[in-house]
Amino acid sequence: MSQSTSSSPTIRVEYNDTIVRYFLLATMIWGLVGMSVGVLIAGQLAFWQLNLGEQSWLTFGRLRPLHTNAVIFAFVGNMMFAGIYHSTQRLCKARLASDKLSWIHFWGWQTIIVSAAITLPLGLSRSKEYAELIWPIDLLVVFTWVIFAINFFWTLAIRRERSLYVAIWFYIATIVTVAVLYIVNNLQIPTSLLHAYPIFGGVQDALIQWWYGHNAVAFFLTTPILGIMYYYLPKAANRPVYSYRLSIVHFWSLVFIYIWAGPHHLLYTGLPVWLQSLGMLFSLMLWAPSWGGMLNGLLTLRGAWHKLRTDPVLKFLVAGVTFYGMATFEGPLLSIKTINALSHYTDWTIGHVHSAALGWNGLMTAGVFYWLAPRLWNTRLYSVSLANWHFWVGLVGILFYTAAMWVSGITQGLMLNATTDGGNTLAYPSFIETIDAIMPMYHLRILGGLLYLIGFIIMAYNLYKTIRSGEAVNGYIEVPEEQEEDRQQDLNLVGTFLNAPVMYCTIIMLSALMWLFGGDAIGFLGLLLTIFFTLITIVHFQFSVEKWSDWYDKLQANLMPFTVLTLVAVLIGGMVQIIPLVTLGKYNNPTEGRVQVPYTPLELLGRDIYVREGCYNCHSQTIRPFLGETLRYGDYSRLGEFIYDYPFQWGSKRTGPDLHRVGGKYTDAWHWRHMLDARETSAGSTMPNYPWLYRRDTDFSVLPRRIQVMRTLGVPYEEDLSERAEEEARKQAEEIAANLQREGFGADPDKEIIALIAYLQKLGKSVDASERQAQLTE
Amino acid sequence: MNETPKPPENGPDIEVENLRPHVFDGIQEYDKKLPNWWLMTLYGSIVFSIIYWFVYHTFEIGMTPSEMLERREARAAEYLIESGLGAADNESLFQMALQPTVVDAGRDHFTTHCAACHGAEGQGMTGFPSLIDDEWIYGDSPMEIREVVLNGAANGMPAWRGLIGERGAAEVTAYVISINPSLRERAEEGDF
Repeated sequence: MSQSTSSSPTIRVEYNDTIVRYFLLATMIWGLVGMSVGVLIAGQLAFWQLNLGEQSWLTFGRLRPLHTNAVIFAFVGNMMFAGIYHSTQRLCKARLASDKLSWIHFWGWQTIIVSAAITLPLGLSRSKEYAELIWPIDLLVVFTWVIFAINFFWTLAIRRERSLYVAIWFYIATIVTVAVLYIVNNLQIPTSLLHAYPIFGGVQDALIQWWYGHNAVAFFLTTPILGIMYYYLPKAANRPVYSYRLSIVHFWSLVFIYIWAGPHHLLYTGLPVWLQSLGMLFSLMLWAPSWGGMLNGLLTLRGAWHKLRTDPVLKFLVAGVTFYGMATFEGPLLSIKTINALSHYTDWTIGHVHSAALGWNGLMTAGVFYWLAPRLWNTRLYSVSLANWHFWVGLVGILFYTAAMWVSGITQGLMLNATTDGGNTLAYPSFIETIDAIMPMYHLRILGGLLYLIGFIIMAYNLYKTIRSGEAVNGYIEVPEEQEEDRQQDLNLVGTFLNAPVMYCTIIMLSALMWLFGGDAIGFLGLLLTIFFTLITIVHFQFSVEKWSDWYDKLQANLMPFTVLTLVAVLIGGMVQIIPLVTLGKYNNPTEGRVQVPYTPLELLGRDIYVREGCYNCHSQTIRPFLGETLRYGDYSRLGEFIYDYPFQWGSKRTGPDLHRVGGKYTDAWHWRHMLDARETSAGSTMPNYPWLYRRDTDFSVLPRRIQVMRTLGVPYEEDLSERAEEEARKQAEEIAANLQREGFGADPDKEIIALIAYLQKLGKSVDASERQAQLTE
Repeated sequence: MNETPKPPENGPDIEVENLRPHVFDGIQEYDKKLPNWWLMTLYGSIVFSIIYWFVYHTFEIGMTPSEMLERREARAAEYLIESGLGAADNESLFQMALQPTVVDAGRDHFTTHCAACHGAEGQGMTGFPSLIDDEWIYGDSPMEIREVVLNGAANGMPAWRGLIGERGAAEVTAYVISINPSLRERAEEGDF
C-alpha cells in the first residue's frame, strides 16, 4: 500500500475486497460445474449411451448449451467481475461506489446462472448459441448488467486518479458493447412466460446472432481479460508495460475491427456474399490488433523471463497470453473462405474455441487467482508445487484436446468433401463412416478434458488450503483529504469530436463507406478519397505528434468523452452490416429465386420441439454450394428459403448430417424408427434416443398465441388462422398418424413425435419465388 | 502530462528510456516504438483487403461460390459422358449381377444404406417393401430398379444418386438382381 508523502491531512480509503472474494469463490464453483458438464458431453459424443435413455434433460442437445453458458457467463463472467472490481478500485484509488449495488450485482448474476442451469436442461431454450436463455432470464441479465455498469462508472466518476489506465479502457469497451450486443440479439416477442419468438428471422436472425456470438467472444472473453492482463501481468512481473502507444493503437483497432468479423461464421451460406467477404477481410485485419495485446503482455516480461522458473503466477499468465496469440492467429486463418470450407461445421472450430477458453481464459484465471488469493486473505499460497502440477496437467490436457480436435476436424472435413468419379460420387457416402474415422480422437478429447478438469480441481484445493490458512483482509490506501482540481485536463463535447484525430477518422470512414456502397463512379471516388485522406492524416500526424498526444492524454482523463468514442467505434461495424440487411423488405431481398412456404400450425409446433431438444447443436440446416454437399444433402440453400424461420436453425457444427433438405427424403416410418433409436435405421449412429417424444402429448393450446405472434412478425398467415390453428394441427397430425398406422406403427396423433415428423418432412421444401409472389397477390 | 519523470519504482535494473512519467498503482509504462513486422502485418492485411474487394466485388473478376459450383458440376457432367459411367442398359446390369466383384461392391452399399429398411436379406419390413419377392411397385426391369435407386420414388424411397453415384447404383442394382430368385434366374438363363 502506497504511503502519501505530502504533509496535507490524509484519509484512509478501504477497498471493497469482500465482493472480490465472493466473485472469486463463485468462479471456482461454477468453473467446476461448467468443466464437469463439458467432460460429460464429450463423453456423450464418444459413447451415445451416456445420453441416459429416458432422461430428456441429460441429452447432449440440452446439456451443451449448459456447458457453453456455464463456462462463458458463469466461469469467465465471475472471474471477470472479480478482476475488474479488484483492479478498478486500485487504478482509481477509490472504493467501489456502492456496496449495495455490488451485492445486487453478485446475487443477480448467481441467480441468472442458477436459473440457466435449471431451464436449459428442461429444454427452455431460444436456440441462439450463447443466447439460449429465455426472456425472463434475459431481462434479469440486462438488469444485472446495468447495475454492474452503474457501479463501475460511478466508481470511475469518484476516482482520485484523473487518468484512466489502459485496463480501464478495456473494461469500458466491455461494458458498453456487451450491453448493446445482448439487447439487440435478444429482442423478442413473448408467447408465454417461458417462450418467445425473436423479432428477426432467417438470414437476418443469422447475421445478428453471429454479430452477437462472435463479439460475445470478443467483448466477454477477450477485452475484459486483456484489461485484467494489463493490470496483473505487470504487477506480477514487477516490470513496466512494454509500450503505451501499442496499447493505444491495438485498443482502438481491436474494438473497431472486431465487430465487423461476425459474418465469418456464415461463409458460403445464404448471407449476401459482400457481407461474407467483409467478415473474412475484417477477421484478417484483426490479426495484428489481437497480437498487439499479446506483444504488450509478453514483451513486458523482457528482463524478467527468469522469474518464470520460480513464479507459478507468471507461468500461467505467460502461457495464457501465448494461447491468446495462437487462438487469434488461428481465428483469422479459419475465416479465410477456402479454409473455412474445410473447417466449418467440424471439430476444428471446437478445438479453436477450446484453445482460447482453456488456454487463454482458463490459464489467465489461474494466474490471476494464484496472485490474488494470498493477497485477499493475507497469507501465502499454500503450495507452489501443487500450482506447478496444475500447470503441467492442465497444459497437457489442452494440448491433447486441441490436437485431437485438429486431427478430427481436418479428417472429417476432408472425408465429407471428397468426391470420386470426376465429381459425380461421394468418396465417403456414409456420414457414419466419417464418425468412425474420428472416434479415436473423441476418446483422446475426453482424456484431454479430464486432465484439464483434474488440474482445475488441484487449483481449487490449493486455493481452499490457502484461504483456510489466512483471514480476509481488505486493501486500503492513504489519500490526501482534499483533491486538487485540474481544470486544464477537461475535454468538453467540442473538444471530444472537433479535433484532428477524430475528424480524420470520421472522414476516412465516410470515404470508405462511399467506396463500399457507392456505384462504379462514386465507389471509385470513395476509394480515392479514402487513400487521399489517409495520406493526409499520416503527414499531419508526423507534424503534430505532440499535439495529438496531448489530446489523447486529455481524452484518457475524461470518462464520458472516452466512453462515447468507444461506443461509436464499436457501433459502426454492426450498423454497416445489419442496417442494409434488415431495412430491405423481405421481398426486395434477393431471394435467389426460392422462397419458403410458411409452416402449418403442426409443423410450427414440431419446429418448437426441434428447438427445445437442441437439435441445432449437432445438425446444421444450410447446404453450402460444394459438390461434396450437394451430392450428399441436395441443392444448396438459398437466401429466400429461411424467411419464416424464427429463430434460424443453421447451426454451427455437424455432429450429424445437415437437415435442410431432409423433408421428403425419408418416409414418416423411417423418422418414427429413427427418433426412437437411430441405430435402427442408421447402423453406428451416435444420436441419442428420444423415447419421451412418443409419450408426451403435444400442447396444441399454445397455438393461437404463437400464430398471432408469427403474424405480427410478418409471416403471411390468414387472419383467422390463430382460431383454426388447433383444429388444423390436429387434422394434419391424424393424417400422419393414420399413415404410420397403415404401415403397422402404433402412432397416436396427440404425441409430440408426430409434430416433429411433420416439421422434418417440411424442411427444404421451398417454392419458386415468382410463383409464390403470384399466389400471394391473388 | 505536466509531471516530471519519476525514478523507476521497479528496481535499479529498469531502463528509464521511454518510460512514461505517470504511475498507476505502481504500474509504469514504457512508450516503445511499434515493432515493424507488426505494423507490416497490419498494413499488409489492409492492402490485401482492398485488393480482394476489387477482385471480387468491384470488378467481379473472381467467381462467387455458386458460380464455382456451376463450373464444378459442368465438369462432373462432362466426365460422366466421357467416361461412359452414366450409360447403362438392362443387359449390362443383368451381366453385372453375375460378376462377384460387382455384386460384392453392391452388397457393401446395400448393407450401409439399404438394409436398415429393406432388411439385411432384402426381405423388407413393415412399411418397407421386400426385394426378394416378385412384386415390384415401380417395375421389375434392371433399368427401372436402377432408376428408383438413383432418383428415389414417390412412396418415400430416397434418392441415392448423391451418396453412391451412378456406379454405386449399378452395383446395388446388380446385387438386388443377385438376391432376387426370379431376377437371378433370368440373369443366369440369359433371359434379358
